[in-house]
Amino acid sequence: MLPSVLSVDIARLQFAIAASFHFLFVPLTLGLTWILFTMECAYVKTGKQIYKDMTRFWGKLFGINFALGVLTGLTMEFQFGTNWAYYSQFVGDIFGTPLAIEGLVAFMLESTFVGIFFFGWDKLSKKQHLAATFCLALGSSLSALLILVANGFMQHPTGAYFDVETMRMQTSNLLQLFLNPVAQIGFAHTVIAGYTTGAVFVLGISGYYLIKGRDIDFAKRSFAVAAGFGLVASIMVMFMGDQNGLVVYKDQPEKLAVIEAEWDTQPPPANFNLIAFPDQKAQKNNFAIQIPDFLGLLVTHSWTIPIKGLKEYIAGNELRVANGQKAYMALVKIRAGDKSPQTMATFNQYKNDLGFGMLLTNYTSDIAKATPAQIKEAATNTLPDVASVFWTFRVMVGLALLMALLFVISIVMVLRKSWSHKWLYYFALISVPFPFIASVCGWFVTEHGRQPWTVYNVLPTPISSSSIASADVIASLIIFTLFYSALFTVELYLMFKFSRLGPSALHLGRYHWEK
Amino acid sequence: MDTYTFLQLAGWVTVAAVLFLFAATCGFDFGAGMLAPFIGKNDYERRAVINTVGPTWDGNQVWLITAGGAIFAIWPRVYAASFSGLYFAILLVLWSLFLRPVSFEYRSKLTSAKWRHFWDWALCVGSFLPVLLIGVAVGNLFLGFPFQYSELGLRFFYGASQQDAHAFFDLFGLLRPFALYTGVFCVIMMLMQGAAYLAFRNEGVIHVRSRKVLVATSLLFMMMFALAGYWMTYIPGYQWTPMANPILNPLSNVVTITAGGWLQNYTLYPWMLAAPIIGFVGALFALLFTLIHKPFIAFCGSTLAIFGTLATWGLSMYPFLMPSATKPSQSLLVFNATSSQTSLIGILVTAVIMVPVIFIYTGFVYRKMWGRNTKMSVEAVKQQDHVLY
Repeated sequence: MLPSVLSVDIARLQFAIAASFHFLFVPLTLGLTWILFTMECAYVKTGKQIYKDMTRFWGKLFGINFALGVLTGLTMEFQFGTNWAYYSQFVGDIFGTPLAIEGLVAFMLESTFVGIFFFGWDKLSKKQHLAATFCLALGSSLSALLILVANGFMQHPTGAYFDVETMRMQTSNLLQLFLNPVAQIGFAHTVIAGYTTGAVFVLGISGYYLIKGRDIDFAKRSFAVAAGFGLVASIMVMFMGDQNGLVVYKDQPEKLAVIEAEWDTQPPPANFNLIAFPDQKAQKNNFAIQIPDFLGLLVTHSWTIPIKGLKEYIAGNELRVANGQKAYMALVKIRAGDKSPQTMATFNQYKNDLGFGMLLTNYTSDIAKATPAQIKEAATNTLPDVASVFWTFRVMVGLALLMALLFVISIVMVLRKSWSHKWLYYFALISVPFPFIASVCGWFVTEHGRQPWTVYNVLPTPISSSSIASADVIASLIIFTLFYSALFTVELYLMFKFSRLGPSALHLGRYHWEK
Repeated sequence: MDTYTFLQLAGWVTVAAVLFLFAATCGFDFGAGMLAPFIGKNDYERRAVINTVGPTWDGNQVWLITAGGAIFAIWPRVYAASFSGLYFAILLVLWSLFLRPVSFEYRSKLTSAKWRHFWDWALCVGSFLPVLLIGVAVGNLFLGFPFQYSELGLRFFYGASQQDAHAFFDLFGLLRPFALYTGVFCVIMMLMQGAAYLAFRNEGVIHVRSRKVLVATSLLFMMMFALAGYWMTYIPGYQWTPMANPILNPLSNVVTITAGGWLQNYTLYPWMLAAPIIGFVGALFALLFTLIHKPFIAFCGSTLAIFGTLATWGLSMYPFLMPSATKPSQSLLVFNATSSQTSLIGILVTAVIMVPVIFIYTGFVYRKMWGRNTKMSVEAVKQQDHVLY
């Protein structure tokens, strides 16, 4: 018997909370580590004490953030097993590989050098310590690479095949798994978003000291490093975002149509919906402000290639669900011992649509007996909620543009040595939450946009979860929420406290609160 | 032996090795965390304990994450079955592990005594509960878990029926006498490892108190280890009859259950007796060398004892990974729960390359942090008041 719908929905909510919460801390780790490395390079090169103080102070804030990054990351590894057992055994053969490698190659490097980063200042030579900081930063970025390789498999499964005997996906080619274009571009886009996050964080808090007029030299230098780092990162992140769009269009075209709320196929180049209110039931947008031709140019980089609309996908999926039903019926026969050439041939003919057949579990208790109406219903629901994906995507892009603007202005002011613009520092300070919101929105687009699949077009979400009663999943969700709220409160308290303290927190006797 | 069987065994050895590295390194972090509020009588003493493991606990904890990743990748069905089957036990491990990073990182950020007191106990609980629960889970492995699979989709079900499991009530099913005993045994083992490390890394009052703890725990370890072996002769153990292509027929194993069955491997392969012997010898070393003031060799002895214990666990159960009490024929074995050949090659090659690399840079970090005869002490904490945890 499959788990109840409620149990699956709560498990999804729990995973969404765990992943989003984890992703509040990861981007900052990704970005801050490289900013720390940049600052320490300046220290090693110039020998100026202030750069060491900068590395150590921003390192302190990094440490407060890192602790929660580690513990929320633990949750992620546990979630697959506790709440998504069928998923884990179905794709563990291939999905587990990058996760195991992540521990050995990346996270070990990051975590081993994080200790020596904090406590090794007097025990290592300058260059050795710089090398340790480099390993810390490298480890965190490598970690993101391997996690995104795993995630890439969920978005665009490559390098694996379905094995009838063991009832699981098995690895056919590990190289294909790692060179998955979705994973590669996802990695580039994600880590650079992280670099932007780190830069906005340092820029905003330095701006705060400039507003308050304390530790000016410290703040100016931090502001300058962040502005330079952030400008490069925020331009790159938009470039990578554009490239990401191309890959999604190629490998998950249906998701692209969801993001753009494109119900009907338009004559190329398609118009871009700047603002729209999608109506999922009626399969149309109630209101839309469009930019002519822009979508086609943006996504295909051409004037002539059409972008298929969602209605066309739904029609195509109806056939795939019907074929999937045939594949399922053949699979049942094979599992019962019928391995006649005829059954095998039927299965092999339709096996690529097996996942679509499994979608019927939500509409009938016996897939083999699903009616055409049920098949049509299943096909109609091969989309995620369009409106939420459409809007979160626009929030992400809007914030990215705003942050790029912030960095452009900041770098101009830094280069002109013009340090009297309080409004700019206020702008920087209020921008601190933006990259976090943008990151979580980005993840929502990626992961919710993949629904109703855990592995795109292969494994439907409803059968991926563990067979656990909904009451128990609700209970664990409540405990998670309580834990996370309490820990987040403590983290924010310390973060605010130490940000306000500034470099005086190092107890060196040279800064504002100690004079 | 064909290539795939060889790789399956290599996978077994890899998971075992990672679990050992987790138990040995996280072992002293967990042990120190449990001991901190007890052998540290004031703030500086507690900080001496915490900072002894401070620079390296984070790296060590990655062995836990790697162990999880390795089980996921090498034995996906074991990962799925154990994490979802032991739902709340696993989540309790996770929730208590939450307390550790924040305790280390946040404890000394504020000077309030209440604040620090709170995190000291959080660290203690966060180190104690995971060890206890993992020990209880291992004990239950020997007793067998109530689980089964559906015929068509191989969907895992915990309990006697193919329904959604009531995980909260299943939690209490784990509290069986032998399992509780192994839980306590694991706590003692980790206390021994923690005390051995603290005695080796500290001078002054923490060193003296840790030695006392080490003497007591190594004695207790030997007694409890022996009693566990005796208890085992009464426990129904599983024996697997080899079959062709176990990976293709995971639901139709021939399994016999006899009292004391877990000890049969030692009759079949007498060399396996080396494992429990190493366990005893290690603990004996820990005891004797701490008495004659050789703390480093005592620490090595304690590590050896952990190695012997884990090897005894693995070899006694071999080739079982997770026996099913409900349907013994559906038990998970090294031969039916392992990943495919291509995945195994990928993971094993990475492990063979990366583990030595990890040893090299971890060795560098330990050498730099501890140098020649660098010891942690209350004075050292006072000197670096604003740098240390």
